Amino acid sequence: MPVDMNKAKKAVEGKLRGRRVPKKDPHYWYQIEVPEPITPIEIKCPFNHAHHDMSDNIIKSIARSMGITTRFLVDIFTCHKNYCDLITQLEKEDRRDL
Amino acid sequence: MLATTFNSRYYPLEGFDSSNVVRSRWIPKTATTEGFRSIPVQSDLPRSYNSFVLQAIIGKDTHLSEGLLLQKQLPINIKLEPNGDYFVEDEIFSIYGIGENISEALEDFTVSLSEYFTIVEESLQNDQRNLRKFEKLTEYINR
Repeated sequence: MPVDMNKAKKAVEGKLRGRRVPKKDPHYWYQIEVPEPITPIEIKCPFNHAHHDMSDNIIKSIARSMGITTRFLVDIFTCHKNYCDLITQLEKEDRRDL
Repeated sequence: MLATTFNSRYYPLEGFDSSNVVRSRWIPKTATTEGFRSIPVQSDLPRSYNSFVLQAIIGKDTHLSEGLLLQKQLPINIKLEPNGDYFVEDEIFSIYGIGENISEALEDFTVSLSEYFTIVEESLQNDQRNLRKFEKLTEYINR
């Protein structure tokens, strides 16, 4: 399910407390701080395409980088799930192959 | 092997510059007589953007940005975006790149992969939790 890009940006920078890593424009890289022992999260978001929706391909890729399901990430972007839910989920099951 | 079911008809991809492919050492897994200059397309495919998936590999010794080198071949998937752009994603690190054509998407992908490598590398200065991730990265990428 595509997600509005501005909504996704607000969620990454607000809900998830993503800290932007300065890299070559137009790439938007974020580090999401997580408590130990969870492995830190680094995600690339296409926020330079502000007038497009975030596509399913991109959402799936970001979700895999975060160790959560696509559905869970969509819920963070568009719905009630927040940073605490993310941490709880990662403590329960981190789907990253680390 | 291709993830989707294609018939035996092959058409050159419009606007696809094979010289870029050679330069980026992009090698498809599919052993077709057309090699990597063509992408197999069924006459009625792709009916929708998400039906197009091409599996390929980026070859060993491909130069990435920031002075990095791919030291092991990396499997990738090439897909279509709803707006017609190409989406390239690797199967190991879930890094992606996007472009108006495959060459642009590959270039965006390799830049992103290099950036990811340096971000993880730099994070180790303050936090060792990314060590396993970095070790996995250095199986594929090095200076």
